[in-house]
Amino acid sequence: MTLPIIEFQGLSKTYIEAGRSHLVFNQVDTIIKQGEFTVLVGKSGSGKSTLLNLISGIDCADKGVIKIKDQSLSGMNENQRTLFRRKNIGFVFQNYNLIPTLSIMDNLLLPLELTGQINEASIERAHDLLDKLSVKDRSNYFPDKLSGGEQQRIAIARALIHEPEIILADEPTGNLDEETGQNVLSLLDELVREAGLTMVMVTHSRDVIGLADRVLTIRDCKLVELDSFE
Amino acid sequence: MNPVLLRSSLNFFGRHPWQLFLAILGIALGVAVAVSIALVKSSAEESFAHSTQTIVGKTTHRLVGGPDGIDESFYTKLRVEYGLRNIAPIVSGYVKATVGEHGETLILLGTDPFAEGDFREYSKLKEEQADNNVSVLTRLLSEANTAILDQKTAERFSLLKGGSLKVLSGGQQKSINILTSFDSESGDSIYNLENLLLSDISTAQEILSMPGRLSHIDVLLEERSPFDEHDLRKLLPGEIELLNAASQNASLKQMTSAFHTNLTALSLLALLVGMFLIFNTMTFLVVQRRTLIGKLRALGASRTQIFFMISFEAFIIGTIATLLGLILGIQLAQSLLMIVGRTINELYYFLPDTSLALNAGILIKGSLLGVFATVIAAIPPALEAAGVHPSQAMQRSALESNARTLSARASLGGLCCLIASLVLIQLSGSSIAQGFTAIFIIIIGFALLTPMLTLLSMTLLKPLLGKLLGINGRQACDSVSSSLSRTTAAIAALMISVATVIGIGLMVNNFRFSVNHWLESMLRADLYVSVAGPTSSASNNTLDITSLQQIKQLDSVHEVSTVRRIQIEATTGRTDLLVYGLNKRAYEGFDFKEKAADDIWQAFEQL
Repeated sequence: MTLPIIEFQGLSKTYIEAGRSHLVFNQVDTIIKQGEFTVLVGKSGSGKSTLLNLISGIDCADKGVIKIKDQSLSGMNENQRTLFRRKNIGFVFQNYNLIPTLSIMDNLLLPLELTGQINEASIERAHDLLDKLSVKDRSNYFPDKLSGGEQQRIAIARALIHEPEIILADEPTGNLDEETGQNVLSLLDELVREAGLTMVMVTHSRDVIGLADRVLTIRDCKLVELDSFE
Repeated sequence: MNPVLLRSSLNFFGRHPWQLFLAILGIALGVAVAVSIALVKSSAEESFAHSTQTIVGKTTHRLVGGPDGIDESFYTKLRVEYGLRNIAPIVSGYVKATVGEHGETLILLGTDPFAEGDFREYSKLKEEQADNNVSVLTRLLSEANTAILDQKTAERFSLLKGGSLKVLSGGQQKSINILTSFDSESGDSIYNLENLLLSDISTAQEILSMPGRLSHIDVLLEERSPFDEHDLRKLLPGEIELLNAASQNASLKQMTSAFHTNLTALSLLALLVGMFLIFNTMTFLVVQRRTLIGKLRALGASRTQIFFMISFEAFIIGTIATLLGLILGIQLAQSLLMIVGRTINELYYFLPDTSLALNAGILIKGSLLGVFATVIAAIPPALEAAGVHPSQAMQRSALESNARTLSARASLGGLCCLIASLVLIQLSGSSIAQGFTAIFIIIIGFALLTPMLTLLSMTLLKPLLGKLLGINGRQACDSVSSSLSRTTAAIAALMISVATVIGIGLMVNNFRFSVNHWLESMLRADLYVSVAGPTSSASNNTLDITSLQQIKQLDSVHEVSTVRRIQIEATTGRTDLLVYGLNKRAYEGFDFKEKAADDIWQAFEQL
């Protein structure tokens, strides 16, 4: 039996923009199981990215509890959430978010370097990942010398390097052309499933929906499960 | 610091070398100005203390007469008739020495070596052999117009092995035979003084045109002395005063206190502007990397790691800039010292040795100032960077939205600062520290008002620039307003720099205007005739009466006014006494603070 890895219990979140408050989630209760590939779809501004920020501990819920691996994020302070994120979460962003002042190899090893866990094995793993993603020859380059597809592949490798249990992907193909996007998606799906990781992905792509185990959307400030063909 | 964050910082500066250069330059200039002014101030003070101490020696008191000094027979009377032993006659003054194109002011010190034993060290002089195994001391006493010169000065005049030196004193050129130069390494303190010409009493009297007169008599009053201060005063005729050597030095020091205060004020101002530049530089460096910092935070960099990254950058930049600032400061001090030394020589007293003294305390303080000011200035932006919310930092709109919200509060704070500074200025009186605190608060006040003033000015300029430049004009205004977090830091830094330049420019111009006004009112004649020679020896420089008569007889000369400036020793310290022989037209050059001018002139004519 697969265990729950992410749990929302009575989650509520409001954010303030330009002086006005917007209710995004109201009393949300959901469970995401270990190894599941969950896709989150919905209109722009509906709160999809906010949900990823809440899972990663970048943002905090106003009410309710978020549990990751049975640990409540709500009870953690900012520093504890940062350390928790560093260890357990791999993030793939729409605009890659590679650090422009670090080489590709440094970008890739960043999550490990920040925790001081760099060793021979991790460097070897970084080379393997670059090889799998066909960007091995780019390891000494800086991000601005790489194409969008190459940068996103590096971002995927970075999300996996420290072997987190959860991968959060925020429209990872949003800035890529269709062919490159397909390519990147297949790689991400393959690597995540191969490692048995849990992935939550925000996307508008129909192709991704076809790959997902579950499809969720935000409706009336609640998370609602969709039939893949809905 | 985490190695990957260090590499990120290094690569950032590697990609923005000009920004790094400007940051280092800003800090280095702040340190250089503060250090150079402090070094100049301490060198001038040290030189004064050294020369005074060397010449005064162990003297506790000094007997001084009027402008023409003391009759030498009074010295004989004190020694023979009253049995006073711990006294030494001194004839001193300034002469201008020239060899070819090279000219320098020297102190001529005429002493009686036999009476000097208790006052100054002369052991080397007694031992030193000149020609034919005759001691220098013997020749100094037995031969007319002979003197010895310090080694460094002798080297400059190519007189290390002796020779003839032409000197100008009281408008007359005279020749002195330099017997030898004394070695500053000898251990005798008197030899450590530069620009010193040492002779016996009669030579000094001859050169300074003071026949039969002494400049003063040095007195050593100790517990075992048969006379105390009270007894000695009883023996003195009316025109001779007994002065305490220490209080005399203090009064000399007091003369330059305003000058030194100005130097201190200047260095504080440099420091203040330097610190503000450092703060702005560091803020700009953080604001510029906000998105990058947000990415690092999202990827797991903790607040502490970000704080240390910015602080470490500040420390490294501050250290490099401080080293550069110290080198620049020493170079600058060397150039400034000549100007400051010349000013002190012209306005106050002669500084014989104005070489730069590298005071370790000042260099350490300068180093700490540069490094700490940079690190302290970096703390607010480092805290801000550490507090960056990852999701907000990656969206510029959120940052700018916050900046706009904060600008209203900042303006209120700015107004409060300006009011507080006005109150402080009213209360500060003559306190420099309070005055500078007020200036600092004014700077902060205007910096806080910058965001709101920028928004207002862009709103007002937008329609005008739109009409003149079309969409480019409107876009320029929108661009400035929409990047408030970056633009205001740059605008505030530029504003303070321009304000400083204008402020100092106005101050200098005002001073120049005052001097011009003073010169125009004081110097009403077409020509001024004075005796050639060093300015510091004004008391001795008198035109002879024949020259005056000759000038008066010239057809082209309508009227002549005469003035003699002498410095007299008073119980309150050295005082300028000006003696005028004025024609009526010269009266217009005087402004009196009290009473009607007519009454004063009437009284003056009746003198």
